Order: sequence, then C-alpha cells, then structure tokens
Amino acid sequence: MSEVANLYQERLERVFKAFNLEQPDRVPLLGTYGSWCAEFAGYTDAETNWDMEKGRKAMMKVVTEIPLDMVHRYFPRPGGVYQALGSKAFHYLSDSTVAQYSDEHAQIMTADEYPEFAKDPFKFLVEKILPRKYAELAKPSPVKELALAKGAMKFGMFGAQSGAIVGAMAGQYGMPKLVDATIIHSMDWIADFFRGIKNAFMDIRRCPGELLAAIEAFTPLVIRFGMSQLNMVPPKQYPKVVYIPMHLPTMLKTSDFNKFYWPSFKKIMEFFASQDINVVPIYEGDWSRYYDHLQELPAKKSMGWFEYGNPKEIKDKLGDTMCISGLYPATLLQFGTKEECIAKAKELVDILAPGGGYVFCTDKEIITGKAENIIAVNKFVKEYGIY
Amino acid sequence: MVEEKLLISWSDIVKQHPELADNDPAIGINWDIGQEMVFVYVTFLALF
Repeated sequence: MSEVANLYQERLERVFKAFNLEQPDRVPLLGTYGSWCAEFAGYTDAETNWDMEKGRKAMMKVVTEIPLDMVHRYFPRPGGVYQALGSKAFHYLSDSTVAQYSDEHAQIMTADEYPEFAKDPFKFLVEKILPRKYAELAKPSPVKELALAKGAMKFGMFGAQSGAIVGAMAGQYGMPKLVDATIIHSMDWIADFFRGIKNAFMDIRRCPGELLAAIEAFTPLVIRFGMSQLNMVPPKQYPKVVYIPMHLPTMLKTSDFNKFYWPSFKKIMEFFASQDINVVPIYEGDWSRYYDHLQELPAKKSMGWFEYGNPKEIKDKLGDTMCISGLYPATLLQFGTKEECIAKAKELVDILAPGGGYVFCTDKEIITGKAENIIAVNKFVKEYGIY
Repeated sequence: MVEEKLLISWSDIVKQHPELADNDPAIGINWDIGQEMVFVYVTFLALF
C-alpha cells in the first residue's frame, strides 16, 4: 500500500478500535469542525455554502494543517437547495452569516393535525409539510414541479461534489470521514421543524396522546431515512456510521423523557445495532439524569458525543457500554489561552483515555475559534495520548 | 377532477402494488438506489 493508503488505514483502525472499547496506539483525534473550517480558510460560512470549491479548499486546509485522525463530516450546507425551493426555515441574513434558523418558521403544523400525521407520516410530509416549508412548492403547477426538480438537481450535485471532496481527502491525504448518515429523533423532528419548540412543550400537556402517537408513527420513517442514506454509501471495511443530534431530552421532565423520548430512541439504537451500524448520538446538554437509561443501550455499538457532564462519572457509568467523546469546551478554544486549553485537554485525557474507548473531540461543533489553540491542543493530545 | 399532488406518496404506491408492503415501511432496504435517492431527497427537505 502507498504511504497515504497506510495512513488512511491506520487512522480508521485507531478510531474503530476506540469505538469497539479497545485501546488503540494513541487517543484518536476527531475533528468536529463546523463553519470554523470556512473561518480558518478565510471565507464566510455563506460563501462555502454557495461555492463548493471554497468548501473544498476549506476542508483541505483543515486536513492538512490540523493534526487529526478523522473529520466528522463535510461542513457546508447546501445553499443551492434552499434557494431553488424558497426555504422559509433556513435563510441567509447577509453574505457573511451562517444559515439562520427560526423557530417561528418551524411552526408549520397545527396540533389538530397530529392524527392525520400519525396515520401516514410520509404522505403528510409530502402533501402538507413541504408546501408550507418551501415557498416554491406552494405555487401552482408547473412551477412547483420545476422547483422540486431544480432542488433535486442541486441536491444531487451537492451529494456528488461533497462525495468527490471526501474522496480527495482520503486519496490525497489519507483522511477518513466519520458520518455516513444523519437522522433526527422523531420528537426532536416534530418539535424543531414542524411544531416549533414552544408549541411542542404545550402539546406535551394539552394533547399528549396525539403527540405520542405521532412520535411512534414517525419513528419507522426516521429509521428508514437513516437506512436509505446508508444504502447509498458503498460497502465499507468498518461499520457504517449514522449520527443523531438530540435536542429536547435535557429540557424534558424525566417522566416525559420516559414517555415520549426514550422508547423511540432505544428502538432506533437497537435497530441500527442489529444491522451492525454504529451510531453517534450527540447528547446535547447535561444527560447525567439519564445515565442509567443509557446503560441499557447495545454495548460497543455507539460513540456518545457528550456536551456536558462529569467525565469520571460518564467513564464509570458508561465506559463499558459506549465509546466516549466530546466534553472538551469549544468556547475555551475561542476565549482561552493556549496554556488553559492544553491544561483542559490533559485533564480530560487523564480521566477518559485509560483502557481505551475514548475519542478526543470538542463538546459541540466549532463555529468559531482560535486556530492556534485548536492546533496546539490537537498536537498536545497526539503526543500526550500515546498508550 | 383529479386531485393535484406534488408527489405520489409511498402509501399510494403500496395501494397500487401491495406486494411492496412486505418490504416496508420500517426498513426500506429493498428499495432500489433511485427510489432511495428520491426518498432521501424528499425526507431531507422535511428536515433541513
């Protein structure tokens, strides 16, 4: 094998050993960089959303200048799709800002529509949600069909071009990408994109039965959405990876979590484990109330990406169930000194690295930050994290 | 007058082709790649 191919293989092996709760040669470094990639390359986020050549240059700068074993995903959003369809939920306030999301624009379904939604979620998505979410899809024929086709072309071009960029990262620099598919828990999806957060919390009290029926009916479609994305990815040497950012749980009362969220989440996790697919749940907020729940998840089938929590408690309670990652505060990289940043990295590595099953990354995607801090921390972990 | 629809929904397809129902609705692993892409595209729009 060539030197690049060897490097690619080494990096994959390092990360997936940790996934399997084994001890690799050193702590793997996962690059969880969002629009910071654009910032690092001297572009605005919007520029990389519209111009994929700038997105490519930004990714290449990251993988060549930051010590890493893997990047989690190709970061830009498909601006062309939003434009073709007239997205109301995501829009750009100026050329320089990141895509803006508005909870007000997410309120596109009424509470009395839950039964219709639960009866056939996909039919409801196609016939009710899409025309409300996209201005062009609410227009008369043939404008809406043309917009749908134009959006599909943009979507296909985005997939092909981002695939080529990922291929170039692997072929030229031996840098793998972690995530093969993205899904959202059915309750998060309904709250974040159809009802709005405020309305969803009222629904918990005012129409709990209808909300629960909608969540249960939607969950198979969520699973299928993940499988469909994974089926389009060529066979891989290691398990494919689906990731699931989770938004609502730490805002829910535990009794509501038990009723509305946990059963579907467990079903999703068990399904993907049965297909030998690894899951990266993003445990947004402080999940310490739910660690006992998480102990019930299939062992060695997921990498928990934690935002907050006591690292020792997480390691003790969940270290035999899942690979642990995250917890490194992204804000420290933005505002801290180099010394403070390295001290925090040492603290986490000392607690989480022993015995393996640990991947170093930040607590959330990095939107902005000091490049010198990011480079210094990754360089430190690469050297200090040798087993 | 025929009702105008944006797309033919999966449930309508199953009504016309009940043999497909056995392969669905949860997993979808028997869909061919073209259908997978259409499904992902349409569902993606409802998300992002």
